[in-house]
Amino acid sequence: MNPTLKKGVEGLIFSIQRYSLHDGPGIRTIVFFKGCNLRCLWCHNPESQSAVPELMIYPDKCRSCGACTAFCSKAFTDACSKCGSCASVCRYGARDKCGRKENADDVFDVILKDRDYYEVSGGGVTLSGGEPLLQPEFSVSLLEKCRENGIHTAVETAGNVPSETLERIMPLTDLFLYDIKCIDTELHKSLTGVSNDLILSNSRLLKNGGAEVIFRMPVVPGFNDSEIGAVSEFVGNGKLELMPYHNICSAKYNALGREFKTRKADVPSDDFIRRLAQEYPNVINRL
Amino acid sequence: MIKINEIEPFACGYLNAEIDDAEYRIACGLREMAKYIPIRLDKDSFFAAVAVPSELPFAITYKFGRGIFVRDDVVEKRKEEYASLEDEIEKIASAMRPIDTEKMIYDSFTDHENKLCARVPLDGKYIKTCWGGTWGGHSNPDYRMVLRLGTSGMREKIAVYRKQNAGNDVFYDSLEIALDALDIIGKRAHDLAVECGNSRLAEAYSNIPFNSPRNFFEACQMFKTVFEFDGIDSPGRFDYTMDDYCKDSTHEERMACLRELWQFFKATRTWNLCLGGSDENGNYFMNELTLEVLEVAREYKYDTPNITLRVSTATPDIVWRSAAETLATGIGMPAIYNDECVCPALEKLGIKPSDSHNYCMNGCNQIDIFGKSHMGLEDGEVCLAKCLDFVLHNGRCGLSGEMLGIETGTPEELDTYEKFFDAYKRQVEYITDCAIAMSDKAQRIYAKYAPNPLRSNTIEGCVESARDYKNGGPVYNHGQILTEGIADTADSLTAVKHFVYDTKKYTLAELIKAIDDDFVGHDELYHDFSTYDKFGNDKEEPDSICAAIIDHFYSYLQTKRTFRGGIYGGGCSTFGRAAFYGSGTGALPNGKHKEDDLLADSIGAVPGCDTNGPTALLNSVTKQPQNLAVSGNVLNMKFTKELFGQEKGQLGFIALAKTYFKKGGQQLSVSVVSTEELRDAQLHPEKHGDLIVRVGGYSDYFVRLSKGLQNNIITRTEIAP
Repeated sequence: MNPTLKKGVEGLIFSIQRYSLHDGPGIRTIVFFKGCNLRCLWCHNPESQSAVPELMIYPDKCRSCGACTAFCSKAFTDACSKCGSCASVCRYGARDKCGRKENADDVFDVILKDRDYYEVSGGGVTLSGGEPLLQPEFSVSLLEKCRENGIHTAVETAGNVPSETLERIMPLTDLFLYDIKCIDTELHKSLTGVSNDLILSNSRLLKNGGAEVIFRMPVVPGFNDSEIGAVSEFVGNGKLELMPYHNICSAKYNALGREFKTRKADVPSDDFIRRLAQEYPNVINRL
Repeated sequence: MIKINEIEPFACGYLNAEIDDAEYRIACGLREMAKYIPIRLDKDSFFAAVAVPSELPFAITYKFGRGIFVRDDVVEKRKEEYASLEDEIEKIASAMRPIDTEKMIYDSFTDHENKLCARVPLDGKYIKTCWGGTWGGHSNPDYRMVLRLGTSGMREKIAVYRKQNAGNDVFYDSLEIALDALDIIGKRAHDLAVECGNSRLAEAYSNIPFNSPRNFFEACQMFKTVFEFDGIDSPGRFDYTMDDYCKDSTHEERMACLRELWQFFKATRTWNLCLGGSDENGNYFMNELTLEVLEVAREYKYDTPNITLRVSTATPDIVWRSAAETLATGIGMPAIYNDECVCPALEKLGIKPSDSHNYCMNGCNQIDIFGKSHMGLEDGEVCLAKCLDFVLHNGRCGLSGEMLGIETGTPEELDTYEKFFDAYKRQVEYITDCAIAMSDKAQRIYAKYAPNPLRSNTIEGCVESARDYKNGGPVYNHGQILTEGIADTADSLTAVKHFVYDTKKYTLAELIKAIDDDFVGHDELYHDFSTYDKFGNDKEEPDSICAAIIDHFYSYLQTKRTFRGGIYGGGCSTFGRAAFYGSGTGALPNGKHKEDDLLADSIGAVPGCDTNGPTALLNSVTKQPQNLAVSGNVLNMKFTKELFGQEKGQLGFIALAKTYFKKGGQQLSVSVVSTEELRDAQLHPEKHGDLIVRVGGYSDYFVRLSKGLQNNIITRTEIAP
């Protein structure tokens, strides 16, 4: 199709992952939005935070062929703006541009490819990120298309967005995966860089609005595990899924040239999560 | 004093037969062998054990897939062992050597055929393009019928048809002599049991194999005895065979028998055991044994037998869950087949619906009609990627320069993609004809010199038509030719179409030069060709080219008749041979280097080239004409243990498989293993002796595979959490 004929809304995403079993029921396609207004210390998708495309560098794949330096004299110098343009000439995957503008129609074409799998498994589409609700027009467009085609929709959000956005999204969303990092506001600020006032009030909005919600709490030992009881209490008779911290994302921090601040945190064992699931009745993890 | 008959009974029976007829002679050989074949049975034996082919002390034997077999190393050993009979042993061996079936077949091959199947080196290298026919093939004897009739019932059946088909007395006498052999073994086992005081086996053998078994234990023992003497092939539809005996047995009784059988299956490397499926009316079939067999497979985690599970939309959840749990143990089984794809495909070949619903797997993964067919299995194989090499070199082998294919045009003449693809098709057709010619020669030799009077009893159609199992006797006599290098060829054609014909970035001559130079000094061309769109990513162009090459090959095969009266069908199940074909294929336009010794596994993507996840791979595969793959289309996938260890992962797999089948997929097999573990197993094989992976159509121990094949599996895209 001629790209000029496309009328869909554009959005910035960094990945579309098919056959995901972990973010909502059944077999799902996850659209990862780029850009987030939280800066969680343990973020396992650090490339999702910045709202512009950026360069990721994997030195072990570099074969010093010189293609990137021929393309841009700033490559390998301090003047490099990490715009990612040089990735187009790298043959070995050592330079990767993370983030691309995509048209909602094109994204939906990919979504449709696995429609049969959604039907058989009770799956669908999940918008994740990054923070999908920071690109409300793009989110609404994708969710509407799914609705029109009878595809189950889930939105994974940190909730730090205007209430109006949530109100717009709510009728188009079958399931919210709603992150709550901790209840203590000061702690929240120190862990994520922002207050959780809006997050908590938005979560009440969803509950009161009758939305289907699974609350998700990352469990990062030494950082927020002291808050599990408080989060469980806040969730009340809702569902709470514990998301054990992992550190396999450290390679991505290296590729971005950033520091992974929770690198040394312990990775919770299955047993630890199992014990928590027994202790707090609203925890839904099945191990 | 020991007599020559005891030392080489088959040969003596064969040579001393009073009628000069191959079927009759072989039957006499089998009967003589039954008198002396070792039987293990003592006071504590659970089952009696008749020596299987690998345990036979005899130098000269008859095997279902090999025909008459003279093992010269054993001849020499026998001569040393029985020095006083040395001359007699040599006399017998000399008489039998000229009719060693494999030798006769190889002697019949032309120089060109020997080069195609890599029996002679080209330029110092064994380059394999195709093969045909030397292996006599698997089949599934109708054990359900054998148990229902017993040898006495089978004799009654012979009597009926002897009258109807007058003038075939030698054939029917031969079949009865083969049944004598089973009866002799039954009698010997009975006497041994009485002698050593094993009352349970004495009781069983007072009834079997003459009569139908009276209970589950007797049924298992009778199955085992016939299966052993027949030469250890595929048990076929085991739950269906034993269905008559399920109702009156307890779970404990069945499990005790299954556990014993499982040790036996492992020790003898038994082929394919099929579960589930449907009855002759097409209704879903399962019984207690369906789940119990999977339970035993989980308990022991052996790499054999190769278990196949037939499924349809009617398959209950409990069976799916049990299958997923079994796969989670990492044994690569069961392989799952979709009835809704296989049965209609078989019906298109003219197989009756009631028989298509009775299909099962044979050997590794080839489709067979249970108890009613000789489907060749396997008649031959064609490497499509090597045919592409011939196109690039106008019929010559790119590695050796030898003229192996046919002239299909110079680079200048192949000036459109249509002409290029047409040249490819003509090379494939020519090589397919060569493979079929070899197969036909071999099958005729089998029919004339190595007929099988035992299977003529146990495969339906032979007694009825008075024709041997090898000579068109069975109800179905189709042939099967397998293929190699599908994805490599599809990716190569896709890149050629794009860069040579669509964008014209390179000329065909430039590409050929780069291929001949193994891409050295052609960096940009190599980068373009090797990174262009690949099959297995749900992308239109490579997927449609892949579908076109499969459609062409399988459809062409179906225009060819077997000499036994059937149609050739195609399939893809690469076993461990992908390595052999890869090393002889040379460099390819998809970026394969000369030293890369592997081609894609079965119908999947080139390892590591499917990067859009499993749904994308399955979508690509379902664009292939799966319904033409009447011999079996194997698709191997690799999941991590982490994912398959979780209920969510297992449910996700079940949904994935169900969707694949709903979309028309035929078969799915799964390795559950972590790449890390595979890498460690390469470094420390001693620590990973039990690590099982799926290779082509079967499961095997990882550490037993060649390094190249190990790397192929490591590179296979992993489906992780």
